[in-house]
Amino acid sequence: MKPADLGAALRLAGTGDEQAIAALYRALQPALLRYLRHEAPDAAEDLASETWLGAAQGLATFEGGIDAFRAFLFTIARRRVADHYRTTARRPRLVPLQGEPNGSRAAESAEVVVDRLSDQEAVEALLANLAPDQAEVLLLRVVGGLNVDQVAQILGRNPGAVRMLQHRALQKLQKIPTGP
Amino acid sequence: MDQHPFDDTATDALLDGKVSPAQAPEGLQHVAALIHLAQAPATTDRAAERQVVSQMGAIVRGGGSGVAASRFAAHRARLATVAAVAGFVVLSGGAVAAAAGALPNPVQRVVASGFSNVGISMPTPTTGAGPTTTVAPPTTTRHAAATLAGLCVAYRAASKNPTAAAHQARATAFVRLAEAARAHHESVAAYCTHLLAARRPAHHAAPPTTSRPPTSVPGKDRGEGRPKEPSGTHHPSGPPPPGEGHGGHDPASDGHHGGRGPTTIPPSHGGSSHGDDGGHTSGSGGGSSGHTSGPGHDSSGPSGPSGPSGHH
Repeated sequence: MKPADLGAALRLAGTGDEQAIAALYRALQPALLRYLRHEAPDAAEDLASETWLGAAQGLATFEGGIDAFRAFLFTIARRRVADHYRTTARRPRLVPLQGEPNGSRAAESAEVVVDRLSDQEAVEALLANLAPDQAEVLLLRVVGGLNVDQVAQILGRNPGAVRMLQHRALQKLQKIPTGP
Repeated sequence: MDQHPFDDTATDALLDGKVSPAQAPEGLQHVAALIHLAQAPATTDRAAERQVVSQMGAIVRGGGSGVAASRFAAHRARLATVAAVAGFVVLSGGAVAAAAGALPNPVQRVVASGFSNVGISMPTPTTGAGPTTTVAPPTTTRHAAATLAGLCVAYRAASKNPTAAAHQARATAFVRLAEAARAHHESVAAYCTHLLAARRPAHHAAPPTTSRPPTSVPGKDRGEGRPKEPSGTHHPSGPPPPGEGHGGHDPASDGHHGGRGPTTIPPSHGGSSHGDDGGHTSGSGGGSSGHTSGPGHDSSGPSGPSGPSGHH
């Protein structure tokens, strides 16, 4: 669905139209789940549902386009993750990829390795060797589909700092040919 | 070493997935490929989608938390059900049990107090001869005799109300009362007058030190079932008060009343609770509501995200 269509769906969703809500859900749920599966693998589905229900409370009075709604949704999701770890008193953990050690992959081309990965494994491979703040910036930029200003607002940083983090992340990834 | 040759625009294009692996600069092809894969379209779980979309629609249309509202409504419905059941129990079986003085002490006290406010006399744990005032094990005869006195109280109260009297006439417990009166060759009203008149002095007497099971038909064995009194006093007519102490002669303790109940009855005060009490406790059955965290505590405004708390 095109962004313009999603914008229209967003306006209709504000009236409680379930078809419009479903259109938003189908467009944004995959990205939301990838984000949550990285941040809270054991509770991703539940947190996604809670995120949507939280978003629904502001849907009727929401002002803005689909990009703003996307940022709104990931803001709620990030809070749900924080609540989840606060409740369970556990820290988020990085999930290493299961499978072959890096050494055996080194001989293969990057594209061959990437072709074997699922979408979630690709997320984990992209973020595996990054510092937590770099990983979070890339997660929201790549998986969340948010721009620098939106990420900066969510993280409570200024846009320059976000740009610096993503540059450093890319530098680090450039030195690691196969990612994981 | 800074291999990263991108400016902000190129970086944004790469991270937005607009750069294919083939177009990506040296060393970042795999990054472009991973980004493409991480942004690949995917289908959603339709069952979860239906559930979430339905709840979201309810929330949006309801202008608030549909989940919380439905939970509250369910909780309210459960409370109403419990209240209705409790009310039914009180108004039907509870009334009979209360009239018989057969409720547990605290309940009996409250019910008796409540009924007294509307002019209906019910035995209380301190004045009545209900089973809860004794520590004896429950016996059919004791309970029956105590019930007869209580039934008389209820009979009198209900006789002022034709509808209640009609219901009462069909009630099994009142059939027993009628049978007892018939066995005494009296009308129910006269039988109750005698029964309750005979009970009245006992309320002012000293508490019984011993007790024994009364007979199932009051009046057959006079002198039984009453507190010990000074010699010479007796009840000239009417059945003895059931369920109370007696004058010391206890046929049951002699073992002559085979199968009629306990052979000895402990003192009526200061003992453990009566076994019948368990039969009068009605479980409310109100389950606890699983208080799961609801979705309704986001403080972010609907016009956009603001200031989330970090967790890393």
